[in-house]
Amino acid sequence: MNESLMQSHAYCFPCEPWLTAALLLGNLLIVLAYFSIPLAILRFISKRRDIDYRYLHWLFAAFIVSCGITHLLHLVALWYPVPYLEAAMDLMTGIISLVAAVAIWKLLPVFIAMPSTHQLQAARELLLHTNEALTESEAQLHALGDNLPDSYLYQYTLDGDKPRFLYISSGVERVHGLKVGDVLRDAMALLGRVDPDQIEAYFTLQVASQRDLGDFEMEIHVQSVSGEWRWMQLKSHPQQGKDGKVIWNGVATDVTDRHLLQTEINRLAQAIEQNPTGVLITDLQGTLLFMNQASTRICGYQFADLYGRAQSLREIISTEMSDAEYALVEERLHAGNSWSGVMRNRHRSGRLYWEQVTVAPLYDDNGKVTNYLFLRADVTGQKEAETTRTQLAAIVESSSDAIIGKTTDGIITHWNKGAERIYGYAAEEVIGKSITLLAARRYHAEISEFLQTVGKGGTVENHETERIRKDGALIHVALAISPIKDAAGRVVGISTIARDITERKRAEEEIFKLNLELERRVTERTAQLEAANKELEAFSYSVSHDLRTPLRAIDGFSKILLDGYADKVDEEGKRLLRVVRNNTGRMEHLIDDILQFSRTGRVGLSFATVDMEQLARGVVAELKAADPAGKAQIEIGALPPARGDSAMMRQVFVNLLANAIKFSRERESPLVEVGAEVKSGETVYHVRDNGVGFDMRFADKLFGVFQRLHSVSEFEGTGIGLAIVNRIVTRHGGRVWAEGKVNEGATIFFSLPRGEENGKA
Amino acid sequence: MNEDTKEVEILLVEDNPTDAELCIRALKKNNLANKLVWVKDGAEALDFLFATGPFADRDVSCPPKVVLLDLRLPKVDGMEVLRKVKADERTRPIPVVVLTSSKEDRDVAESYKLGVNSYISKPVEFDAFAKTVSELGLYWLLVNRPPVTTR
Repeated sequence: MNESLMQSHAYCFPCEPWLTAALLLGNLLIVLAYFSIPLAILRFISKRRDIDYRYLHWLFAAFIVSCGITHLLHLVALWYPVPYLEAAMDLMTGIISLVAAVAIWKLLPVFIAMPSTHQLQAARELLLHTNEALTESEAQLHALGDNLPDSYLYQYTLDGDKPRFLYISSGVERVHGLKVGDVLRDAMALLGRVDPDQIEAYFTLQVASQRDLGDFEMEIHVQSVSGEWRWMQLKSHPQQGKDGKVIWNGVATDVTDRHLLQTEINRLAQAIEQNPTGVLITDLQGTLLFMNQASTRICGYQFADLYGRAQSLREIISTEMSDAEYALVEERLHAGNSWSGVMRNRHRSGRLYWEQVTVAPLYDDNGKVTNYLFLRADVTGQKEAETTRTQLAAIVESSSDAIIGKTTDGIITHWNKGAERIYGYAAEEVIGKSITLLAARRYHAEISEFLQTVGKGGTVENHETERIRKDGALIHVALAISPIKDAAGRVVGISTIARDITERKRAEEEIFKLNLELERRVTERTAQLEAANKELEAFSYSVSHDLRTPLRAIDGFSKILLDGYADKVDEEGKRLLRVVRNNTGRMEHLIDDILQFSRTGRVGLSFATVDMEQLARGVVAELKAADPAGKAQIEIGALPPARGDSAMMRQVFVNLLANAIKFSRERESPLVEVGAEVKSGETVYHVRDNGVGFDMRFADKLFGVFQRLHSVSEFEGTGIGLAIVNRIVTRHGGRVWAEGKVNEGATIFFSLPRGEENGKA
Repeated sequence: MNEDTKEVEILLVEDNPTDAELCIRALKKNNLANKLVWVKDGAEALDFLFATGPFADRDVSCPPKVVLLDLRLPKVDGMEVLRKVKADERTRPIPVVVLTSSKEDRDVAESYKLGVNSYISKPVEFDAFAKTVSELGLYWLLVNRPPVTTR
């Protein structure tokens, strides 16, 4: 085309005006057309970027534009000839055209490969067809997704970090009650319902899956619109597109039931693990499949110790089992029954313990025995408690006391042999009956009072009362009633221990009677004694008063006779009257001594510490004053003090010293010596003289009332002095005795018990 | 007797006639028995002192100078007589001398508790007895000054 244009231009240049006009118009049109073509090319290329043009378009554009410029120069040359410029331009255009021609040849296969319209039509039809198939398949897929039971499919992506569902099947509506549209619009419509505790983990996993392109898998707890929580298992596979976006295709399955089951299984497993009963499961060969902690605690073996080791059932049950026992177990198990027994077993440590074992077959769904279940409990404590209980029961049974158990209402629940013996009822006769059966009606109120007291936790101790035997006999019992408490301290019963004290009571009554009798007798005797004392007192009084009066009369009238009738009575008569008067005098002495003797026995003693030495010296002084002519030498040694009645002690010294002086007065040099000797527990005082002495054969007569060893003509006296000494010393808890020999003097000893006087004196 | 009772100096209360005789004899020796009245029991003694019974016409305000009182007396015993005399305002001032055979401490103590003026045990030996009685007669009638009577 360029060739033809150039040729025509070269021909027509110097031609006619019409020719010039035709040239001008033709070239102008060519220029316009040529300049518009690159615009069309650029437009095409900008729209069809899928083709690699290898810069041809720029070359083509340059070729067209340069052709256009040559034509433009042709126009200019009509008026202003520019041959050089035209020639340069044609040359440059020729080079560009040549390069473009070469380039287009090289690119020709590409253009040939471009489908033809027909091909495109065929392709379009195929596409439509495929599309139809695809739509159908998608519908099927949707139908599948929508109809999956308890599941839904989803396609999911992250816009930045914002989740977005690209697709979700309508299962989400069935499972969660959510509208598909709502979820597609806002993923949080679904994800916002996930347990808040899990949502962080969810996104963490999501991000990890996005990073590693690993499968995403998680179970989430989702709350349905209805408020119900469901466990959903999410499984999705990530795929990264060309644009780098990751899309997950996944399925969410409702695993709530499985979850619940799992939870239930976990719970049961924990329950078994925590159970204090040992649980073991073996297969039919006795291979251990499971054992819980309690089993280990009971037998000492760990699961690892026994795992995989086939043991005989017998071994598992107990190493201490007898053949007969095992035979029974086998028989029951073979019959499909369980077996249970209590026996000894050996702990891993070697000690024996008591255990209760149950063996039961486990069945599968078809009713076939697949495993054996062993349940074991250490019952050593119970067994020992049982032994103790048995022993205690034996003790209770064998007690001679009645031991009665009863309810807080007084209903008898236990009745031992002792109770049978004491009350006469056999256990079966009274158990279930009220305790009041044993007591007379008048004691019933007391019994209910006791039940109340003890029911509140109180006790009744050693209460003595009366009960009635079965045979009607009245017995005395001592009761101890106490509450029986359970571990929580609640009173659950009452125990009564009754002791038969009938014999003791009888003895006590006897003693009481005897005591009464004794008391009565003592009272009687005391009264008698008091009466006797009174009589004695009255007697002494009478003696003191009445006996003297006649004496005075005898003496008085004898004197009157002697004085007034002296001339009428001869000498012999006067001597006789004087004898009468002498005897009245002696009689008066006797009376005085008897009264004194009687008084020493009656008068109460007032005890004090007595300075015996001073007392003796005082008496000696008095005696000497009364008999200034007395020539006796009286020596007084150191005398320890004594505890006694001072006046009485004085009387003792008066009597003893007077005696000693009297019986030694015939001696040329009468000597009286007073001394004392301290012995264990007593002090022995003595008064010794060198007088006439006495025959030891009569020593026991010395201290008797009116006993005399000498005639009145030898030694005056009534024979009562030593009797008085004896009485006083005896009343002080001491003794009196005498030693002597005829004509060799006598010694009178008296002892007094020693007490506080030593410390005090 | 009525005449005698008017100015009685000694009231002798003694149941035993021999004792009374010996006593009176001893007093007579000293001429002290002129105005002596002898009663033989406690009841009579009280009648005399309180002017009752046989002594109803006696003047109570003219008491004896001394009463010699034995303790062992029929009817009312000496201690009772003493109690009554010393319990009554009218007779309390009368000097009462217990003259008795008793040497019992308790009699002595009881008598003084009741307000006796003197307590004398009668000696058995006559000489001593006569001496004692005459001395006490002399003392109470001549030495002692009795309370002033209204008369």
